[in-house]
Amino acid sequence: MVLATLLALAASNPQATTPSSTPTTAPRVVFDERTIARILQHAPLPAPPADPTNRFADDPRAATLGQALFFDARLSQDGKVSCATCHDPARAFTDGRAVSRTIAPARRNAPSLYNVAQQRWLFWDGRADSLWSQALQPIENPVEMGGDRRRALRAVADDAALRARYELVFGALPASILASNVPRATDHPVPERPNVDGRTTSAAADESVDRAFANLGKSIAAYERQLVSANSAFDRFAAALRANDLATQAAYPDDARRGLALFVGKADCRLCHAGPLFSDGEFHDVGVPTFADPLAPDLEKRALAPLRDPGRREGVEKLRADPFRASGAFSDAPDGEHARELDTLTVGVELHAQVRTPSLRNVARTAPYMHQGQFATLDDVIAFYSTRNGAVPTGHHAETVLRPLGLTADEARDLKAFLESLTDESLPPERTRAPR
Amino acid sequence: MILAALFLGASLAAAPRLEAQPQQPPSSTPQASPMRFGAFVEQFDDRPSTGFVAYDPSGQWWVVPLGGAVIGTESVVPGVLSSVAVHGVVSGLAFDGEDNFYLAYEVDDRIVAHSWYDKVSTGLGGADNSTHTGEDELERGDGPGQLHAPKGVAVWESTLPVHSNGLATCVLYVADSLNHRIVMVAAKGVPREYKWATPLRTFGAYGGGDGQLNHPNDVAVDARGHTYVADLGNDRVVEFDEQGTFVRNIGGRGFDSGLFLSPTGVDVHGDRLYVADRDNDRIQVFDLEGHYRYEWGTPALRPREGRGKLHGPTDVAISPDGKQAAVVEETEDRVQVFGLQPADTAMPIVERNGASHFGGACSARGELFAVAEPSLASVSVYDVSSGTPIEITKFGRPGRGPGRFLHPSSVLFDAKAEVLYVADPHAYQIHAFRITRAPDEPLRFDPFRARSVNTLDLRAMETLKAKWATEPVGLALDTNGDVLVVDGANERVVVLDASLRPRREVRIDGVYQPNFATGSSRLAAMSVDPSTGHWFFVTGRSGVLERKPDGSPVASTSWFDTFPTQQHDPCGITMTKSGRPWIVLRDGHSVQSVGAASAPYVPPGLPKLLDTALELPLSHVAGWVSGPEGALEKARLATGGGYRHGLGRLEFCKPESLAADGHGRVYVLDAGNHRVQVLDEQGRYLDMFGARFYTEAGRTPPIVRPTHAWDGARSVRTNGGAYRVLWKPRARADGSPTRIERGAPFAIDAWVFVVGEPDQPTTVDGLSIDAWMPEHLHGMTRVPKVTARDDGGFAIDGIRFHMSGYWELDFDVTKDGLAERAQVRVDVD
Repeated sequence: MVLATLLALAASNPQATTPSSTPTTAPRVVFDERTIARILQHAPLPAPPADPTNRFADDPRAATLGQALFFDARLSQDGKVSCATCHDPARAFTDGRAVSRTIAPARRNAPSLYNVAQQRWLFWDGRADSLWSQALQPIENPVEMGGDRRRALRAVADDAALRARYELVFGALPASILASNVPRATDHPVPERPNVDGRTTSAAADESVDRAFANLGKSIAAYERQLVSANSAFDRFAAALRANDLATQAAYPDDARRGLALFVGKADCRLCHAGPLFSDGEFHDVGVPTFADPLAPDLEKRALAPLRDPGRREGVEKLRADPFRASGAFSDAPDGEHARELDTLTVGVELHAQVRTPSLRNVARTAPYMHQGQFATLDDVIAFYSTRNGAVPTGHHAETVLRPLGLTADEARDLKAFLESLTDESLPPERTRAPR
Repeated sequence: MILAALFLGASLAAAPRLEAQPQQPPSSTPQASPMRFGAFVEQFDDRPSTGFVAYDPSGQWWVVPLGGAVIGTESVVPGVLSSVAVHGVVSGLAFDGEDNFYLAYEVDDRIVAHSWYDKVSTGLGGADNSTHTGEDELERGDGPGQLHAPKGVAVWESTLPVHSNGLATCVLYVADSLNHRIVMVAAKGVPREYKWATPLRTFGAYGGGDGQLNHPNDVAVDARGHTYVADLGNDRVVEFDEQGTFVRNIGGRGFDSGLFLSPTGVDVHGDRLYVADRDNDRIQVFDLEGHYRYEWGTPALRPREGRGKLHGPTDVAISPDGKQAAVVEETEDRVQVFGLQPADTAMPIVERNGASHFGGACSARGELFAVAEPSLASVSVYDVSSGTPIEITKFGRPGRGPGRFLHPSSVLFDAKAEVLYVADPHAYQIHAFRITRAPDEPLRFDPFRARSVNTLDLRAMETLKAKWATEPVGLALDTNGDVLVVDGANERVVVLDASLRPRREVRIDGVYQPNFATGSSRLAAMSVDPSTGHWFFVTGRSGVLERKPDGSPVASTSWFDTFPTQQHDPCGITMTKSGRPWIVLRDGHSVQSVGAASAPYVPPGLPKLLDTALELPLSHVAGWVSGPEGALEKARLATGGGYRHGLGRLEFCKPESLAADGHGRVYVLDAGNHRVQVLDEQGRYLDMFGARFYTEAGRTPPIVRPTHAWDGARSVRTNGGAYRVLWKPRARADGSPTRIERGAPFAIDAWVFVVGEPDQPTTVDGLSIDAWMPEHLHGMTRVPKVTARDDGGFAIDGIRFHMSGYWELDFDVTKDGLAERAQVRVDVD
């Protein structure tokens, strides 16, 4: 509802949709060579990199199974929550909330899944290092889907079509799942406190169950790899710029051009929002405060949490403890380059409060913003960087790369126009619903 | 002259006022909102202390001033503490539940237990020194039961025997700071009946890993016997169980809630751990599982603010009834008492910034002036040629090794102001940085200006091995350009050449005197008279020592009878052009020159003290801090102390260092006022600069982005000149040529050659690689992996520049404890 209102407002804002009051006689934005080189770093978006840890990553049969699982609420504790609950295709694979709320309020904002296969680290704190291992965690997280791996596998076993799809790719389900003593209905109590990684563990460790559970993740990942968004107005402009195609370039509005110049120039957004993904895939603390209750209806009453989100500092520790990590027993490339990367990560308090740089593709469709939805609109985000109002004080370490940008109102509008030009939701409709 | 040794807290007076506080809710308030500390109750100014505070069982708080021959006043509370004499520097103090209290003598390396009903004559020291020798004492050492610079102490009274002797139920814990460990001794009964020299247990060792400590500053103990150690050098609190086994680390370096910048004091009351987070200006509260609960304290933006705002709180103590918290602010000579308030009282967000503390130490030479910032792990360099100090670079990042600091607390320019030496006693390292400037370069900030030349690891250098790890507390430049390192732990000077290679050591005898009557002293800082070549030291007790470069005595001041110097903590010394040493008295809030103004300093003999402040007109005296402490200040002035506590020109708050620049200017690091004052050699005020609110005009130099480009070198000489590092990016697995571009991991192969021997790679102890974005103040998110190649080179994998901008790629070559850095600048776009 909130999102719809925002969109309506945005749509009714003439500044956002037309080249605005700038007279058509005004000179067009001309980019110098260095700026053009920088612009072209952001496009085209390549195909998702191979994922050697998941040998089913590009298996269409696995993707079909994964797509079915993605929309299947039977994986959850109460049978009402699927992946798509929080990653709603109609909302650019987000839920439009500050933080997700399914079984209980989560701690962080549900990010869009567009181009998610491009990310090296998953979750805001990077506590998963593969898309497939990421997909497993919400299933067992008590505040998200609240299920567990045995019940999830049982749901697959109980559905003939699902089971057939699974066995086509991965072979037989574990015998212990097929045995009748696996509970069908959940009896988990709803946890009293949100616990982002309070993953339920099976009573008896069963390697075959864990492996089959990993297979569910690998199939969901195979589906998610198809969620590509790479044909925005900006992409078309960049392609034309590269090809020196002036006619196509002309279709790109002036305000977006000016915003683009800011993005790669004065505002230096590109420092972190780098490359074709508009994200460096790494972790930074931009000083966003942490709210105690991000879902409080009244913005003014969102009290600050006593502790900031530790972000990447905890994320690295959790990743190292995750049995489904890229270097773990269920990875298909436990000795691969990406798996080894885990051993080289810096650890320590310097990672405190750092969260992953979000991709800006489709950013106009993924409000609210930041890891807790601290900002309702893009205008708020731009104002934050422009003024740094509300940023968490940085103690004696005042010198950071983040200084108030001091954007004028026109510049802020231009920057927003550019961000809106990163929208592309031309995903085939059959990718946005359960497979038939 | 006569001062109370222990400052008695006016808690008896404070208690009824606490009840009268309007913010105290009536006792019938439902338990909906638990009570937390944070309500300001009262402040007590003019309570100089060494930074520790403790409550006695009756609910009164106590602090100990920087000690010395001070006899206690008549009792303030009849029948309790009649009088106590403290001889020496007392740091920690603790009370047990009976009639005893325990004082840690930091410089004398001992703990003394006192009975409250003991008289001075039998209780300790002074005329009856003989009663406290032998088994009652812990002598300096690192053996069982010995101590080196004990700091905080804590008492645990167990209901169960805690030792196999079946007797010990009262245990004293000592933060044995320079041994980097905790010592447990049984403390039951009349203290002198117990053999102190038999510790129950010691635990901890130097380092930054689990269970290791770096300059532990304080210790607290809970009802289970778990200890919580303020691990100052590691910016954390370390919990051990009753057996001394490591349990967990709490916090780490940072400013966010739950993290610390210089945690100096801890206390446990009930199921809460209280930590004085000194350089974040707050008290943080944790439960005994290490979970953050809340914090209180708003940083003081203006000097002397108080009234609930904190400036550098060094310790916190909770009253036995749990209703009061006493917070001591050593910088402000103050104790503030806080009471309870409802937990839902909103905590305002406060700005916690300020570009610099202007604390630590400084050096001046030519047109350059440098300040070490220990708690910020950084060093700033200013150009003063324009009359307005312009910060031209700031460097350092937390950690060990080249370019990294844990606690940089001394700086020193070489004769040409081209090389800046930095001493870091927490990391036991000495660094040399070259300050690069083009002759016609405009004044501007450039984060690349300081180039790490050498880094000497004093713990690893075999030829420097002594009983104690070399503790670099001060630096001085010898007349021949050698770097003189004051080794505070071993009472010697380590002489290094300009490249930090050891030449010799010189013993400075007679500083440490294990004499309980007069107490001991510590070398604190050093300066060299360029005309005679003599070495001048400032020490806590004897004031100024003058020695020949072979260590033989020339002269020394002996102020013991005339002036309680040690009480004023002389901590910095510099030689002015006129050949007179100036010293800075941290707790005396003043600067003094030694020797009369009209006559040169004449060794030997007892020099007359000249207080430059005394030359000021009386109007300045009128401008001093008013109030009840005014009388005290004037009394000190009469003794010649020159107590100049204040904010005006030529007034100081805990000045920590001073440096003459050779051109007639003396820079005084007025740390407690977050500023630098510049004086001429007659003691007249010239200028001041520093943090906002603390100076006359805030001066923030603009940061100008440097215009360096990648120099593209494939062979780069180390900044120290000893080695050449040949390196080349390795081709990718697919055979494509390696370009260094944003986000793409790459690998490097490197070989180290001794300069002049280009044929064969040399054998070194190690090559490590680091990268850093000086403009962003961060490095890589990966730690590259270095492995030895068969051909004598090194393979370096996993380098990734994840952001656009200027990077420094550093090759650190280590051999025999001395590291040299080769740097390549990479412009990633």
